[in-house]
Amino acid sequence: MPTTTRKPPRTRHRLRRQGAAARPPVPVIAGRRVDTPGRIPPNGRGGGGGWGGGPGDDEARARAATMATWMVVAAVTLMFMGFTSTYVARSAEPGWARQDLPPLLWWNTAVLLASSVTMELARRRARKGLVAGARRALGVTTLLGLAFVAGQVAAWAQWLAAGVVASGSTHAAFFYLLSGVHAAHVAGGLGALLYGMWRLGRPGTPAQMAASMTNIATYWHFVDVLWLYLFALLLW
Amino acid sequence: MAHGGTQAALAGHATHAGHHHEPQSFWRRYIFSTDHKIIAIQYLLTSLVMAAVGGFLAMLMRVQLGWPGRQWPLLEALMPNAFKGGRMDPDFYYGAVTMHGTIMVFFFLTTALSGGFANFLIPLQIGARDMAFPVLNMISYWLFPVAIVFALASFFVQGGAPGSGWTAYPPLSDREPLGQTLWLISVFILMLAFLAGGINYITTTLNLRTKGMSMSRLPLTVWTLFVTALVGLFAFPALMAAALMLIFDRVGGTHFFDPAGGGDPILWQHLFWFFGHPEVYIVILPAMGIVSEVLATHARKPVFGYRYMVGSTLAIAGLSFIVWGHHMFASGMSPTLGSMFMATTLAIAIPSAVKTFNWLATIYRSKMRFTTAALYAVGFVSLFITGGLTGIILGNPSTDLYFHDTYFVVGHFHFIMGAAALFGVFAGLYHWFPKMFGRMMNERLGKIHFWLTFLGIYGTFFPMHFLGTAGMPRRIYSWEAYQFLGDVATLNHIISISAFVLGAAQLIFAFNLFYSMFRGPKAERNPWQANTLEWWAPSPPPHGNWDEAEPVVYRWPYEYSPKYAPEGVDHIPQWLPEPAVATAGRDGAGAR
Repeated sequence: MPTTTRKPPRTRHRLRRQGAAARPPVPVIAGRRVDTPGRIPPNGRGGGGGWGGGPGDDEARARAATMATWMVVAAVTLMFMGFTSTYVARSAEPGWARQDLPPLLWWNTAVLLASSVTMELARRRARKGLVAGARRALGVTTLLGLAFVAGQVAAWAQWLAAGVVASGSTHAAFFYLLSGVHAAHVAGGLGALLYGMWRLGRPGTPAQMAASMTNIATYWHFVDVLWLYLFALLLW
Repeated sequence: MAHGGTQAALAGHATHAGHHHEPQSFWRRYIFSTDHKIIAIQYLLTSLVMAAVGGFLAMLMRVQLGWPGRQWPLLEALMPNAFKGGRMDPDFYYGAVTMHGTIMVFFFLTTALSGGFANFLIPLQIGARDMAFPVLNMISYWLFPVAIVFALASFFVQGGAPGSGWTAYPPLSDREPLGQTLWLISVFILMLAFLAGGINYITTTLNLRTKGMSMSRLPLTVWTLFVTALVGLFAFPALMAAALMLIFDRVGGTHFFDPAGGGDPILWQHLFWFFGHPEVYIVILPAMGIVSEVLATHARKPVFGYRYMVGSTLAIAGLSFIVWGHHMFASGMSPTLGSMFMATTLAIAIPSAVKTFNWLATIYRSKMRFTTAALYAVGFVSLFITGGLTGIILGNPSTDLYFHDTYFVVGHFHFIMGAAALFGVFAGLYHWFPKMFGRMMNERLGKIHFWLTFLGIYGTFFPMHFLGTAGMPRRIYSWEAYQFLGDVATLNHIISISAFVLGAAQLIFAFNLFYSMFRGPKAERNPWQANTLEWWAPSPPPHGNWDEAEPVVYRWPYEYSPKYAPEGVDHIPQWLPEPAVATAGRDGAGAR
């Protein structure tokens, strides 16, 4: 088996750049195909494990958390697309009757929009390392979120008192379904806000706090935009 | 030497031992564990128990279909409610049909492959210590038994298990008793579990790969499990939305799908099959990955066309979302739309053929070691070809209209997403058992299990195509009532007897599994001389997977029988640094 000494492949250069143990050129076997199939980028992005103390771990975990947040957003969006497709198909059928929505929904919408503003305030404060201010803003966001859910329940109560029940018309059924499932997602967001307040009280760098707040804010803004979309759909 | 060399090469990496404490209490270690390997074994064992339940229901169905009208006093003694007067109760039969399909698709195949193998293999094969979100992983598993409780509870409530089939088409599912509501809640919870798991698989694969493990060096199992998780992320929400609306219909008096109140049952079919067809690939893609891995390892040859295998996986996943209409050819679809769905359906044959020919090329002129795992992998290819060919027939609206809802369809999908996926599970179990439990399974029993299963499956599902051609409808309780089906009695006897052989063979597997788990011979670290990272870890891997530092990856995972290798070396593992390659095999390094 003939062997030669040759310039180390690109793999080695990349590994060295990324902090792997430097090694001298080594004898390799001619004709080898260690990188089959060809043109493989030599290094993965891996940060080196699922837990631990290295900075790579923290980075990888932060990336994973952000990615997971967006996947939750994607999954919830797809579920509401399922509802929407049924809504659109049913609303095109003869006999479809849209009923006037409870006026309270406008106030609830305003409350949810305000909560997005305070959420953004919390996120920016966390990024600047202003932990106490960020916690206050998160607290206000939580209260506004609770007020929104309570407002939605009050709107259902108004409709029920007026005799509009889910079994009465398809539009009413969609209102109870869409606003109910959305309220459940807001309740999940309230859990995230409480986690955020707890997280801000724990030790960590401003970057870690900001990363955590950004993920919570992404979800909160998403449920806000989702409600705007659903409200418009129900009004349509 | 190589071990030492490898350790030296790893010296630059952070050592993680000591950063994470291994749980000591029994409950945290084995029950509410956050360790991906324990969760994988929990998923696998629970899904195998569910397979036994689903298989038992299938046996009962074959008792009825093989000898309709005959009395079974023994079964009456065992299950007086299901066999009133010695004959199977029709309601129980339809409940068994529904629950058999539900259990096998959701609670066995999906969970065994995407819950069991994904959990076990992804961190180990990418060189991570655990999933990105271990607690979410644990929650994902524990939602699974909750879903099982809801599903099985439907047998014990008034009205029994739902009889609307695993597709739960309204208006029948709108009118079924309480069991149907429990079924819907169960499916909703299960989808939540799968989503939680899928988020972990995707984030872990993308973020926690070890040094050198580029996406182009991922083992094909990880590729398919990763793509499967993506498919699930896009498919499961559709069923969750549909299930919620049907629950509203049933308990809230709404009429989303119930035509009696102006609802549209076809909308359910669209939503269900938008999920339902990708679900076929959620089941079969991981099996394809497992088979690719097992074939290369036991054939001692590189996987043929690695890049095309990855590309075809992505193509199948993408196409799976635009073919759902082929399940609805008989629902009054316009011919233009039908032609479009036919084209996309038949297009899946291209990436599927790429995979099939690559498997055949991988084993062509190889030095195949016919272990039980290899037999199951080869058997998978056979079943996949058989089932795939009949899929082409059903993908055409003109032929589908004749075969729709006949036993031809039952035969087809049992070959593809039943038997082939089952063979993927078995190939994976026999292959990775030594790594999971640190012991070897009995090969002789494994081979007996394989041959009985293989013959049992062909004896059971192949004749079903002839039943379909003769016009026998699926989900039928008393086919003998139809005069034109008089000629299929012999076929139904043969099918039932084959099914019993198939079922009995699984008892051999169950014995082998549990006996070997505790009494099997101790496994080496790398008993199959494989190249992927999990074989670098001890058998079974410790908490945190790697003794000290995570491995570094130097090459792709299928470096088998390389021409450049020294005499006696037929594989170069991914973790072996190059100085060790020259001497691999002389000191057992390559085989470590």
